[in-house]
Amino acid sequence: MSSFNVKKAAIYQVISLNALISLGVLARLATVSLWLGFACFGGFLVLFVAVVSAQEGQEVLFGVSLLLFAYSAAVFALSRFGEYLKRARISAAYENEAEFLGFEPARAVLRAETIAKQEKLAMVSATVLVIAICKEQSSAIRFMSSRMLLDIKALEKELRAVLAQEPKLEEHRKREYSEDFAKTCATARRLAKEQGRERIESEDLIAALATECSAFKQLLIERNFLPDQEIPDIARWHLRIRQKNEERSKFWLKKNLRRYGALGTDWASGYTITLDLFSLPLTKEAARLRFPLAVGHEKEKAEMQRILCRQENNNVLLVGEPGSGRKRLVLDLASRSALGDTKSELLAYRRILEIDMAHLVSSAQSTEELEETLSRVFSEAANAGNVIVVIDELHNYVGGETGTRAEPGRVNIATILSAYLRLPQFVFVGITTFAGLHRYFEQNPSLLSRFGKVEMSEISEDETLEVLEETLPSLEVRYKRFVSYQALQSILRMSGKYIQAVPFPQKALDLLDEAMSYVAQTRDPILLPAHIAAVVESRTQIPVGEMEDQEREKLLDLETLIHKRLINQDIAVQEVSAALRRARTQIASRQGPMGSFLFMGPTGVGKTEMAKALAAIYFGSESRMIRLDMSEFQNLEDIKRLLGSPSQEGLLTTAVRENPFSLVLLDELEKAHSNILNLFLQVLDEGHVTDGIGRKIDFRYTIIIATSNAGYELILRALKEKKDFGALKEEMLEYVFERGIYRPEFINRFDGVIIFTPLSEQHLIDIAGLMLSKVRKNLAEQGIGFVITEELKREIARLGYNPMFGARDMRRVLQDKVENAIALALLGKKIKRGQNITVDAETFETRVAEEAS
Amino acid sequence: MVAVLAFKYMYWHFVYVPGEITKAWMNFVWFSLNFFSVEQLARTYFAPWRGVRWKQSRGFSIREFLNIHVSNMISRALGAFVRTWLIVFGLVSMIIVLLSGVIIFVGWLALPLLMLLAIYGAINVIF
Repeated sequence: MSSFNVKKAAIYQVISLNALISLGVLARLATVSLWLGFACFGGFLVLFVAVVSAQEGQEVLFGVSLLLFAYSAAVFALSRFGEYLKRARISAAYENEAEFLGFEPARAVLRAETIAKQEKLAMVSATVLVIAICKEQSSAIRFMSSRMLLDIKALEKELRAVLAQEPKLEEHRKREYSEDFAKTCATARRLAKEQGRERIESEDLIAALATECSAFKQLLIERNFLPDQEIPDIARWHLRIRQKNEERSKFWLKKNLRRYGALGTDWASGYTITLDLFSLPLTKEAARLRFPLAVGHEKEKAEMQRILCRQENNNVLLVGEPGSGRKRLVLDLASRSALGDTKSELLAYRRILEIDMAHLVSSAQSTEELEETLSRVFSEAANAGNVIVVIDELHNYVGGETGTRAEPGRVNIATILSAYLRLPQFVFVGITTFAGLHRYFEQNPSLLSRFGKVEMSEISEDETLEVLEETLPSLEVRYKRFVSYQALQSILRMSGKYIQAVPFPQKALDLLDEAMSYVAQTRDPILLPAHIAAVVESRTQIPVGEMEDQEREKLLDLETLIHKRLINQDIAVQEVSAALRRARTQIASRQGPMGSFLFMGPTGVGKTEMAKALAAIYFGSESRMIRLDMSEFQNLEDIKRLLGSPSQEGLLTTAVRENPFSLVLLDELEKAHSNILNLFLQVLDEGHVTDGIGRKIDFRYTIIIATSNAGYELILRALKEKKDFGALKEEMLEYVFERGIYRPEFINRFDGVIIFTPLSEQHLIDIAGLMLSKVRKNLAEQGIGFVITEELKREIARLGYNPMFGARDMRRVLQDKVENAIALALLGKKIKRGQNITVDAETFETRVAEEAS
Repeated sequence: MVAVLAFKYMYWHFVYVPGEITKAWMNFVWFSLNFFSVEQLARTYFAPWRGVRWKQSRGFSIREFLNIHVSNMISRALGAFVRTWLIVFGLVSMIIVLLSGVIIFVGWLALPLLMLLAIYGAINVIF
């Protein structure tokens, strides 16, 4: 870093000026002296007018006011000049890299140099710079540390300990900048450039230090932060607030002057008496909310404005799921229109009115009256020439028989609406859902043809975080609670993971609001991830907090936990556990489900049991398993049942939409139609599928397990011929490919193909023991001891085993032979509380045992 | 460094800030015209007041013809009358903004001189 010298940079002049007298103090002084000047001048005028004789007093006051005016003007000019110097343009020809530093970063670097000098360090390192930033206490570091709940003093103390390890300056050597310092500056400059700025601000420097300063990075990781993602994000958040405040303070900008609106813009437009009676003015609502602009959805915004400006068919049908931001988009349009900030002048200063359909329908006494009022409302809107009409949930009013009230509160306005949609002066926005589009609009092509369709996509997690950050100040004021950044991240993660029926950003906003309301009822001053977990838990009945905490331990100990419920299949258990660990630690870049496995093997060897065990261990309950018998999907037409259609729910898609955090078990996969298997290619690859009504269903938080009996004959033969099981997997895959049961690209998309081997005699005895121990547990709850003998286990295993069905019959044998016998003995009062019993292995009769096992 | 700072100050005071004042000045001129919708009202100067107009029904009647035309003319005249007021307000505010702009612009350029004069005057008056 030979070309880095803050003292030779232009910004050093401001630092020197600021060292003489603080620019902030200067600005305040200018204001104070100006007001004092006014006061003196006022005093002079009073004396001049009222007490003409007090000549001397007048002169002094006049002189003082003149002096104060001169002083305030000088101080004002100096403070503004200082601000100008802070932001002066940088010449690209500069060789000194310190020229790119902003005022606060430059000051931090100078302080870092001083600290390095005091500590006699050989180099000015990135660690020293972090300490300097902590000492500087800029608004950025104060904001970031408070949102992250970081104790700056503690952080500084730990960094000082690291600093003590750094090499000291030897005599006659010059102090240099370290490599990580240089990298920090380069990264900060890149970050600033990416956001269209030429100067490095404090936020850029902190974000760069989080990735380039290893000590700082380590401390952040220890505090559960992701240095390269979360720190730049909080930095951007603060920068956004700062820029917004700076922009608002420049009252002379056109953007700010627009907020005052305009008078008489509607004087050439017609009166809308009936329309006003049955509508909600969204333009006024936008003004009340201080002209909110929607985050993201740039494509949709542009498309909507383009359609509304067309000469014909200038009507928009906004299609999206409730909560995807459809109303926000309309409010965005209302804000832009009120500010005259639209892409086309045609949309500027329009009145955007949402028809209150519920009010309109309930006000009409008859269908004829309703039609007449509606016609008047539409006619006024068309004649006014400056109105954009909006109807929310339009699908509720365009289905059913024309002009009749088939269902209470449901009317069909399609005919009247169609007549007006044809008119170029009638500009209309209808809001509907994908289901509504398919079910009602697509059945009425002439109505649909009047619209330009705008489909709302779900906004990304980053954009949702921005929406949350924008919404936060008003909620914090309302609930008088502070929200930590960790809580925001939790909201984002948990709403994405556990709530799918509502899209982003609404599900995150709902969760934030609910969590704020929850924490407001407690004495906690700060919203933390634990509060979010509690709210999610009460909403979804999933023990979220416990699961998030225990996930690590569960993953580490998965084999033991599965083996508590599953006998044998060591290789399968190992493979599933290892694949799941790989998937959850995100070692491989992937977008698909958390894990996907194909279990192959004969029936009754524990494939389904393994899936159940995984659901219970990983998702907290066996009920979190979505089980589909794929033999029910042998025809192409069955796709509709699987994915849903406007008239029916999808067996797979609806279940996953309602329970996104669950295990999907596809039983007997080989029996499904090959085109249905193709659907799963996308699910396994990208982690989502589009359902029958166009909604994106997210599988990223599911584990998909498919079971298959295909090729089980090979396993049985290998067992008979005592072949090596290592080579069996290859042989089985060859077999299924040759027969065309599965295609290689399908099999390759699974995280693991796992072969389940038949059970040996000892395994069967162990399974019998496991089943009998469940009976013992139930009896123990009634105060009865149950002694399980080795003979009984052997007999159950012998009777329950079938070469064709594996251990599947064992449950039935247990019921017939053991559970029935105990039930009879209980009913016949042959067994009493406190007794130990056993079941005879030969006769299967219950008798009192000598002692408990 | 003092010389560099003094040079920068001169550039800022006499080149940069006047440029910024001009931009802000133009913004206020635009605002005064936009706030009173001068351009839009001028464009629709003779448009009927709130779009109120009468249309001829089928068949011809001299009485109805006159009635409708007189009514429409009144509607347009009323529109023009009301618009005139707002246009006048807009133009007056624009003139005020223009004059204020001139004062601020010249005042800023003369500020160093005014400060010196104020100090000189104050010393003379007090002592």
